[in-house]
Amino acid sequence: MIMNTKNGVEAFKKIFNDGNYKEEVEFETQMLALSFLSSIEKEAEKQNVNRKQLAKKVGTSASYITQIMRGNKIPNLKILAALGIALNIKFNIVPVEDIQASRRDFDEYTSGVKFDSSRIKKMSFEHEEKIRRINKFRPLSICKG
Amino acid sequence: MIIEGIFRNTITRDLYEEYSEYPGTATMKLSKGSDNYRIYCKIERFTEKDSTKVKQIVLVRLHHKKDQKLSKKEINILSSIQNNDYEYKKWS
Repeated sequence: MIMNTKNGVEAFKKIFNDGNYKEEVEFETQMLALSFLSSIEKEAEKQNVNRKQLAKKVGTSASYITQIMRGNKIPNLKILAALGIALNIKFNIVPVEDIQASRRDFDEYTSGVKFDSSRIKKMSFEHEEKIRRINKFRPLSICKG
Repeated sequence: MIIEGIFRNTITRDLYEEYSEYPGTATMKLSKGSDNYRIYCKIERFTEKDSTKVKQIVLVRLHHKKDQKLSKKEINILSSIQNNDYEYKKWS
């Protein structure tokens, strides 16, 4: 069976999610934590910081880091902030829709295909602002500052 | 959670990993420790006519991994996943 990722995910949700509110909250909590943690993981890799070193910087154990990376435990905001400080990165939480809209504007602006040049003068400030915002953002719900 | 994490591109390596030594394969890590169950997957990437980039994941085999390193059995699974072609049908 073939499915594109979007309708595939929807299909999986339909099968496994019975619409239970508590489960949905739990699931979204884990996804939110994962958004932070995947960024932390990538940054730690980039800086050649292993799990043990990271745990030491944060003042916790490597096994705790593994547990949160696996989704077995949900990290609190203090731990997330500490991980960010340890790797010298800051995070913002913004609605996904805002980022998607900004990315669409950015694509339109940079592609030059759909963009009407007569609008540039009028909109340049607005777009510069958007581009500034996009540059601050990473493409998902959690953005590195 | 793993599927959604892959879709959102926010997955950690503790949950999902693509094998660079065996291109086109990946593993979903369902649990760790004594019950180290994994689903080995085939990964295919292509671009559709409308330039949409597609990453196709086939969940091939559920396996109980017993060692940290890849055993012969696991290497065989990954090699067969690499060599096998799958027939896909449209989702409706």
